[in-house]
Amino acid sequence: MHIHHDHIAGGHTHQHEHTHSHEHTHDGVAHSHEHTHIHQHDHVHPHTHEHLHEDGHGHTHSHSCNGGCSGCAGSCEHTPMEELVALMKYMAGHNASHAKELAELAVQLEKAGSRAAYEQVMAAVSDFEKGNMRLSVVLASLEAK
Amino acid sequence: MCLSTVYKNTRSEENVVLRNVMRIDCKDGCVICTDLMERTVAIEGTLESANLVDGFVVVKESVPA
Repeated sequence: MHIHHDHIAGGHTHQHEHTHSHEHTHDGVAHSHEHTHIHQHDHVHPHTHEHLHEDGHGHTHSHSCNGGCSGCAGSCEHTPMEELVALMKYMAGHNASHAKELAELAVQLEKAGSRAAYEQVMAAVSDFEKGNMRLSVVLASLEAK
Repeated sequence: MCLSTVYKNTRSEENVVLRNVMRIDCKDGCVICTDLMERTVAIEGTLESANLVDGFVVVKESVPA
């Protein structure tokens, strides 16, 4: 599983419209004309911190935080349970992704002529999914609290 | 593929910078690590190695001038 956020580390996605010209050739005749595109991109807003290290030396460097210092380690206000639930959620999704990858691998094994391996891997996928189901139930009960 | 633990200079417990890291960006001489809770830690230095199977990353810290 891959987690996507538009607002990680100060980065965000937005759209721009811009115009530029193209020069190209038709039947040997070159000409240029303008195009207007809408495109989106990610960017970050780095900012600077001055701080001291454990050995007492100070220096300045750039961070790309979530739009401010609140995104930095040490200042986040997450309870241990919130962190555990986030980790459980990640693991449940990640395991589901692995189960899917295993099923695809099984299909490849079958295509390669190994029917027995296909069946065994698919049995493993079934076991995997049972485990994932159990994790999902635990997660649901944790989130309900 | 999986979450990683980021270490500074060497892979030892005392050098753990951040666990459950889901994203790493290299920018302006800093390696910026983001964990599952979206906490970020910036280390001045370079990415030395990333083992994506065992889930660990080593960042070589720049020596302060």
